[in-house]
Amino acid sequence: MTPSTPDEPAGAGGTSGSPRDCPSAYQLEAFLFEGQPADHPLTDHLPECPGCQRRLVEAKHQALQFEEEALPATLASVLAQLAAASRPKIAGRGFRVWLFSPVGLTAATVAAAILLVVGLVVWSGIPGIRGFQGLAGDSDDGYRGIKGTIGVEVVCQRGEEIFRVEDGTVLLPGDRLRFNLSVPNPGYVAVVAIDANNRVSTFFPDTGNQALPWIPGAGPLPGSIALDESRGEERLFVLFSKNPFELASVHSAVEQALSTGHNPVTLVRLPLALDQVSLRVIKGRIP
Amino acid sequence: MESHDIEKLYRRLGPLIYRRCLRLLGNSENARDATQEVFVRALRHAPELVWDRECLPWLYRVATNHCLNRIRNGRSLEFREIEMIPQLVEERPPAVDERLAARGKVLALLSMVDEETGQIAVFAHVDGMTQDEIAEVMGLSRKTVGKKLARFNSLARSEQEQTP
Repeated sequence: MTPSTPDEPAGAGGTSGSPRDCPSAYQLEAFLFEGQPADHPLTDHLPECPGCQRRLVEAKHQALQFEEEALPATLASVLAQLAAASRPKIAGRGFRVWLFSPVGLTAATVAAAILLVVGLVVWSGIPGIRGFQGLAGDSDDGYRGIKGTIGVEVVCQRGEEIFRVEDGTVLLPGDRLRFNLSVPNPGYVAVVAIDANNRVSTFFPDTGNQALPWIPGAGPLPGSIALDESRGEERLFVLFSKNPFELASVHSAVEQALSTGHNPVTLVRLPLALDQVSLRVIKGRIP
Repeated sequence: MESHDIEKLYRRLGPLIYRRCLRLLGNSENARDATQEVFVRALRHAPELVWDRECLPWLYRVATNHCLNRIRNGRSLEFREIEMIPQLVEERPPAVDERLAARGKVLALLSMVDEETGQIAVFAHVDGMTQDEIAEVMGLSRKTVGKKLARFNSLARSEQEQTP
């Protein structure tokens, strides 16, 4: 299954539905800084632009990185530097720098002890994600997963019709797939497909070699995948990790699995230390 | 300012500064260090500033300048300048080998222009900002921004033409 071009990535420009209206990095920062006001022009643009949705998710992902890693690692030093800068110089003596005042140390300890978990969603409550809580082993609709990690639902749009994709669902050229994804914590996601001829297609990310940053509550993966004319069985893999990973490692894992004689369509798990959900689909012919 | 207030402000401004630094430096560890430095500098030099939307241009400029200085001083070697040269010359995204080739050229370009022009070039070609936005952030007239940007673009093109 070779996906056709997903929705257009963002460009630079103004504000409203096409790539030319995509905000600059500065505009996006201003939008986030102001708390994403509902009456802001970007509020209308973002739902229409998968590229900007990706940018927004990435920005929030980086904010979480700051909260969970950078802030605990640097707060004490920040407080100490500012405390030192605010102390008056003692006339006739050198300026003494007290590295940790009792107040500063207490604040740093509290900050280091608190993990801000922003955007955590109790994913059992996400509409549309049915039956994937603690996804473990086989489910009766064919989704194969690893226990207690990510929740996945693949939805297909065919003309006006929208339906859930399950094991063995027959898909047609021109069908558009969307991936509803529920993750327990911020991380990185990729979606690939392997066909019966061992060909690997990458659905997400749509560019580059790095898995897509993702956060809880971010909604479906941006854009949709339009299916091409190729036919036959394929297996979709949704891969998730707390740490960044490259598509090259996924492709290597696929090669490794196939080299040991696995049938690509019955292969339910890739030899990767990643959270995974896989699903078999059938590309059929338009009658 | 009390420690509690500093922490609160750091949580509010930190993500914006961190993202800016990460975008320019391309490395989370360098971005973390730079974020801390930018925040401390911001509070030291403008302790009475009201930290709302009005401070954003100034903060953005301070973070950008700090990162570019780190790059110029050789302290951060993963500057994500890879988009700059192709955007100046043509619209297609650069291939990996082109990025590697372009990196040295862009660093050389930054060292050939003054600090202000370098910032303007980054805002225009890395961030995709309009000249009006750049003028707002830099506190310059649009005309000045346009002139400096044109000068940088001209320099970039002549450097590109000289490349085999």
